[in-house]
Amino acid sequence: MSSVNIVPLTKPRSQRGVIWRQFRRHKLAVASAIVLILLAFVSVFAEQIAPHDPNAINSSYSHGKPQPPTAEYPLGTDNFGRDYLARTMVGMRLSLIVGVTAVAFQLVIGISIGALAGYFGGWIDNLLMRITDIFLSVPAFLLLLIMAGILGGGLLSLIVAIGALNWMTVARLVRADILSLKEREFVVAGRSIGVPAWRMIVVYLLPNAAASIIVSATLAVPSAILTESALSFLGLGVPPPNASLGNMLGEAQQWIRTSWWIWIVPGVAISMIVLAFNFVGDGLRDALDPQLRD
Amino acid sequence: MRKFALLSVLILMFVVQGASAQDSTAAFSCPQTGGTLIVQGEGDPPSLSGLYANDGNSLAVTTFMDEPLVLGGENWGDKIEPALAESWDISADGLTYTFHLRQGVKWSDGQPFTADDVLFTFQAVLEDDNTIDWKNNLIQDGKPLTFKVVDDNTFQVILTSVNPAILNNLSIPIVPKHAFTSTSVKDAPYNTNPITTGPFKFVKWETGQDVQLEANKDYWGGAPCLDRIVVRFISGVDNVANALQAGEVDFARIDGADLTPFQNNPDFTLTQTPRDLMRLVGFNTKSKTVGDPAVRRALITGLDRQAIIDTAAAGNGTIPDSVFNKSSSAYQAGLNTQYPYDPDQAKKLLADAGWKDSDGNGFLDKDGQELTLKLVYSGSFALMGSIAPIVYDNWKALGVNITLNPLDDATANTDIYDNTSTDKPYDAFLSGWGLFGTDPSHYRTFYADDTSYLAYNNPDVTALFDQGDKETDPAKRTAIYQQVDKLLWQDLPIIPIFQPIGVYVYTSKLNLDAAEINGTFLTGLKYPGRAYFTQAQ
Repeated sequence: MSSVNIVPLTKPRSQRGVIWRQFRRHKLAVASAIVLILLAFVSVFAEQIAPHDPNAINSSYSHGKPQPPTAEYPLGTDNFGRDYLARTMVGMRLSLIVGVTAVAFQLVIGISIGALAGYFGGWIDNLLMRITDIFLSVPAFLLLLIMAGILGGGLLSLIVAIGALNWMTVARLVRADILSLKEREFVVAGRSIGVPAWRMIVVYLLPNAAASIIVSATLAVPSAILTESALSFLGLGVPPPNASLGNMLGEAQQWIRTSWWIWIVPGVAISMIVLAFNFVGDGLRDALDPQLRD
Repeated sequence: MRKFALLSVLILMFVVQGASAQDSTAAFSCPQTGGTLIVQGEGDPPSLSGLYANDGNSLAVTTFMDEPLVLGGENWGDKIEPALAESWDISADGLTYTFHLRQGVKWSDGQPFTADDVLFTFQAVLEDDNTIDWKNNLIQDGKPLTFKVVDDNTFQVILTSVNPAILNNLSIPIVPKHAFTSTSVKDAPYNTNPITTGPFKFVKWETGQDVQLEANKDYWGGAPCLDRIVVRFISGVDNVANALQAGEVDFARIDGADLTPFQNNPDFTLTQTPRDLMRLVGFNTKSKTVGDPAVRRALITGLDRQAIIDTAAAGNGTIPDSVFNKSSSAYQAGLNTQYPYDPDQAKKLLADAGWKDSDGNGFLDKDGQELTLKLVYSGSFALMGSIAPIVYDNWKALGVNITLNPLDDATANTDIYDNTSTDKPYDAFLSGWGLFGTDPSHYRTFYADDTSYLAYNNPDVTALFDQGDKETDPAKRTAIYQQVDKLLWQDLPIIPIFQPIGVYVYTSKLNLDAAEINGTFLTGLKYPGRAYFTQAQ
């Protein structure tokens, strides 16, 4: 007599594996992810990598005019003789920090509000959603200018200001997810056995809403970065002499005619970061799509 | 023939002398009339009233419109000359000045100018609530001067003691009594709709864009050659240079742009002239860190002022060796020993003053206080923005924990310029001042008054200023102020960074010979009514 071994034809697929495979299909997303990782690396080690101090003035070299790229200054200098490559690195670091932390802050507010509104419903939902509507109807940028003026420049106030005015989309998405998940059997079951609300939300509902949160977060980062650049361009961002891609563009205005690198470099840097995040966000959305549809 | 020649020479001499005995504002005959002159301005002025015009943006407009009794005071050039007062007599005891006002002068709304307007102006200046900068000009020994309207064209000023600088003090723009409902002028509609006697009068103010003026055809000095002047706001040296080339601006002062497109270019004329201004770092002398003069001496030694001139002013500036501007009569070159740029010496001076980096964080400290320096400045003033990073870089290298704080206009005014408290919210500020005219007694407002931006109170200096106010012998008076200069150069409540040299660029279609380019006027022109276009516009 012979025995038959039952061997599975393929390895069991984990959820993470599926997502990763889907993501890999999106070539641009993968390339962008690599670019972002490189950027993050450069940003973290900016001081060590940069050959010159980003704030070191060298007026005997520049004579008050930006100097073109040379071997010693690969991206040229600004009118103070400060190395543009170093300043761009520091600027990119600032953009990434502001982008990521502003979005983190915005997620905290948005998720809290959205989850509470979605789970409890009734007058809480009404109240929170009306507050959200009010924030949505305010012209965000104007309010941002006012807040930046009141809170003064500085990294923290910038992050708080940007975060406090952009949580609304996340709130609505989270609320929508929770509303649809609320009627599922596992939620009803959990409620009936007396699982406390906070536990329901944090442990059971939010992880299922994770997909849309991740995607909206990834797409919110470039928006925060652009907002920070715009504020810095207008002189309301980080104080001088700190480099920010936005204030580099602002200072570039008067040298546009004579020094092309002055505005191209920060412009390309901002575009690159924003595009990269957008592509990664796209890729994530495609990869997480089946989860979303579930 | 010879007799005739001699006779005609004699006659000519009388005629010429007669003309110069009359003031030099006699009517000028325009070779060509018409046209709109577009001049560059930095930005919106806080007000268009001559009484509040003590900053660059305001003066860029009001200097075309307003007039004082006499020129030669603050903002009105470096020579005492008749303006609205045609002549004046001084009593034998030197206490009564009788001004004979010009007759037939009309305000831009057609009303006649009289001595009542002068009285009104001085009363308004004296009123505390109006917070006008020149209030102390009209106060002597703690009491306001006595004024008397003798008749429509005669105005008297009576002093309690002889004051050699009184004519400079009285050089304040006159405003019309009939344009105000009371002597409270601070928020009057006049501030956005001024009525003036000068060669040009106000038409329109497009905030953020320009101020439009038109010729005052009834001007007592003769109708201007131009039809209109537009002060267009363009900030940033390269933007100004671009605007000049594009023809958007006809006349501008460029402090630091690339001048090569204008040199050897027949379409443009370039003139350089020193400006009666000082760019400076002012200190809060009550600060915990920079309150010590030794620290301030270290900071000036550690500041590369030539680099600032090269970067922020394209080399158009001179490094001062005095707290007084060069046009001050008390200025003497070489009186003081210069502080040459020497960062090592600066570090040594700081160490000698007791500042060491005891916690290894890269910044100096002393008795638990870190050497922090909060440097504020007006963020909208592009020049300050180009000086600040250099100051930051130089002083950071000495171990000073310096932070830059560009302020918006409103905050700059409340924190720095209009701040009369002795408790300043900064350690130092970047700014400039000047156009004080020749009399050094003006500096009293900064150095003998601790509610000024410097919060400086040095009894020795105050006593010297008091002496100078009373001394009539010019040589002795100069010696007194030179003493002040020496003391202040040691104490350094300000670090004088540079005195700019103005480079004026204008289209060659414009003739400014008679208008006189003059760096002691903010607009750069002494007689704007005499500017004309060489071809019909």
